[in-house]
Amino acid sequence: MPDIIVYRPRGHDNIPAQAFYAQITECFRHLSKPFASERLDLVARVASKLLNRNPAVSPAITHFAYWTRKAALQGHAEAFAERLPHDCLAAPRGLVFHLPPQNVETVFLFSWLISFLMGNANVVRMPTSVNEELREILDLFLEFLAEAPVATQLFINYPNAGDFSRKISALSDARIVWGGNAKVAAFAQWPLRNGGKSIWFGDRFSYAVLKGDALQRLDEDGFRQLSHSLINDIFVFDQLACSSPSIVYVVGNRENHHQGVRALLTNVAAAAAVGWHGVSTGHVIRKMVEADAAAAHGHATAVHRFSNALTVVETESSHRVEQRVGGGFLQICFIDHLLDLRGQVREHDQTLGYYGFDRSELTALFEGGVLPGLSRIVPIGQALGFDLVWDGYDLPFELTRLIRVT
Amino acid sequence: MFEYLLQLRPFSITAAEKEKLILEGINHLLAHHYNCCTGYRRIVDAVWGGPRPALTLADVPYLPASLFKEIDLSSTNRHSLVLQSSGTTGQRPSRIYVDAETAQRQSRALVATFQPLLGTGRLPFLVIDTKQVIKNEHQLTARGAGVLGMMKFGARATFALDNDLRPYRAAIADFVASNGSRPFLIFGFTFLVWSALYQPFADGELDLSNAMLIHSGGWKRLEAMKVSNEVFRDSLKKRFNLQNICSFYGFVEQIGSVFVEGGDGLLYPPNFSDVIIRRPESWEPAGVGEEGVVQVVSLLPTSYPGNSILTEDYGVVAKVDGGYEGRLGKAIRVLGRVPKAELRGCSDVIAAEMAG
Repeated sequence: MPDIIVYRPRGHDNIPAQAFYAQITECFRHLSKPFASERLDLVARVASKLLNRNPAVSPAITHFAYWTRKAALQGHAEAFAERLPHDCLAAPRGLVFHLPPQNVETVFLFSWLISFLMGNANVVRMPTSVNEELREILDLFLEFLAEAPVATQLFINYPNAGDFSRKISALSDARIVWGGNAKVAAFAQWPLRNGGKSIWFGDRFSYAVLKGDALQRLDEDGFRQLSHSLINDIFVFDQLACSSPSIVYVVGNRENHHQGVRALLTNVAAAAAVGWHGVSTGHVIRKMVEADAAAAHGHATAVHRFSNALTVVETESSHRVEQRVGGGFLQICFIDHLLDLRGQVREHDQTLGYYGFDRSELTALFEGGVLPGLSRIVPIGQALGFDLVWDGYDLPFELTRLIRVT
Repeated sequence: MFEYLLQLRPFSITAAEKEKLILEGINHLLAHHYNCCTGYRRIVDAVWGGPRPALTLADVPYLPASLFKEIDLSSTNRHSLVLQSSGTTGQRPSRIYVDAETAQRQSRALVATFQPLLGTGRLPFLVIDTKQVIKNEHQLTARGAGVLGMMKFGARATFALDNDLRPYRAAIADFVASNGSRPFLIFGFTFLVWSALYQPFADGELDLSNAMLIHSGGWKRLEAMKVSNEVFRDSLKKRFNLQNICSFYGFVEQIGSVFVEGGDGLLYPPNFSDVIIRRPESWEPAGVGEEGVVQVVSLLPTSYPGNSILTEDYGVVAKVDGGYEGRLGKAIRVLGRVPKAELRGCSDVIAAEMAG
């Protein structure tokens, strides 16, 4: 039987599968309390190294480090304590098995980190390739983790052939599966130990809405900031993170606002063409194909190719053009009222980015009948920001068990 | 205009003259498609700002070749044949709607292109393919259409391969024994010529010194085996004494319009087609000698709006009006495929990741 690869600082060991299973069977004897100080300290030490690194880390990692610096961690701990139900204590679940996506590489960090902070033992199946920066961060964690007497945090990989996923599932108390619907379906067949729980993150779809009037009122600075925010949401991870917007709805009438929207997108495209790593010629052609097809079907009334970075398909109807082109492919649709969005929401919709609306306008969306989807409503620019409440789950609570004392 | 260009001697027009003639013809054809093909009309309106006569060939709207995989575009309600790209697994093939008129234009175009090479008499014809490729004449793949097109030059076609694309060794040997002493024609897709003719036979096992080999179909798989055009030619010469070899460049979205290789190894568009190389950064036309993405403009199709196609091939205009073997106009080299787009996101499931 092939070995399991277990990551070590700047390297890895090959551990025979049976020995690995024996090891993880033991590790749930060494759990910590949620937000235990030694775990908080370890994470904060890594965050401070990342924030002080020269040259600076990438924006996605800066976000991670900012989110895990000492003060932020204390905030997370306090928020957790406040939300704990009356008369309840919390304890970790045990061994948690993480199956992050192949790409959108930072997901494995967040997935593991939350579970680690909650005191669990963890097995993380790493993406097959990890970029240099993430490997460096992983190495930092591995170095600090190596100081612990018993290894309970295992970052691993293994061949696809074989029944590793099934066996590790059978030894785990909880499992987090990130990926498409097909991956979720595959893992659904493999039970966890003692009927443990799985948390599923399947295919999701996201979009943004901006108020035409607010766009018109923007000064030069605000305009630049909004462009920058949109670039973040659209271009990080090639627009294929589940929370990146594929559609921008503009509330307001087209005659009044199309010039403003055009100016905004021109600015976004120009800035993206400079700042972004770019897109392959094959994908630029794919975007031509998808835009032409949308036009030929009668869905797109206008197609704007601002640059290779950004193709925008304008639709009059609310028909969703194509769910997953990515790499700078955006649908624009003018709607009369924010509440018109209610009719658009579907089951797998996740993030709604917004600009120009206040909280009461946004919560009004959810009044009057239950919407089938949407679990995150965030300002444009924060679509990719990670949070403890994700995709409808309160992750710290999902990864702990409550002990009621009356 | 198509008629006029077809009458002229192949490759006899200068690049400037050709652009003028084709531009006139293409504006007329694109107006026809705008009127007759709803999908095309919507694309021109939404993407290209509405219909207007192009002032230069580079201004002519173009459609990416893969669009024909996504949607059906037809300017006729009387199509007699649907051509399909051979297609990779899991992907929808291109679907090209051909009516009687376009079929006739394709066939006449092929004759005009190959007659100077093959003459007017019908040659004994060895097809390096299976009979299956022409089984359904209303639904042909690019390979089938190629075979059917070349049958105009051949008599008594002998199909060299079985349904699994393995050679009928005895049939091939018999064919060569009875026809090998005078000129004959071999036609096949480049990869099949290599894998099902060159590889299975030993040096000297067949004498193909009187053969004219015409082949096409891309070098991707051969390049992976480190077989370049040069290696291909040298190997066939060494093994079979096969020296008359001519490749051509063409694709299913513009069947009938083939770029035939000259003695200088360059590919020349037929009289009724022209080529524009575009810079992928800006999609502006590239200069001579500058690599880019190949766009082909052709006066051939009337039953579907495929007169101006952006391919997924990289190429370069190597010469303009070079005059080698009397050939004028643009001469190109095709440099390989534009790699398929690969973006991965959250929903990146691949079968391999699920297994295990």
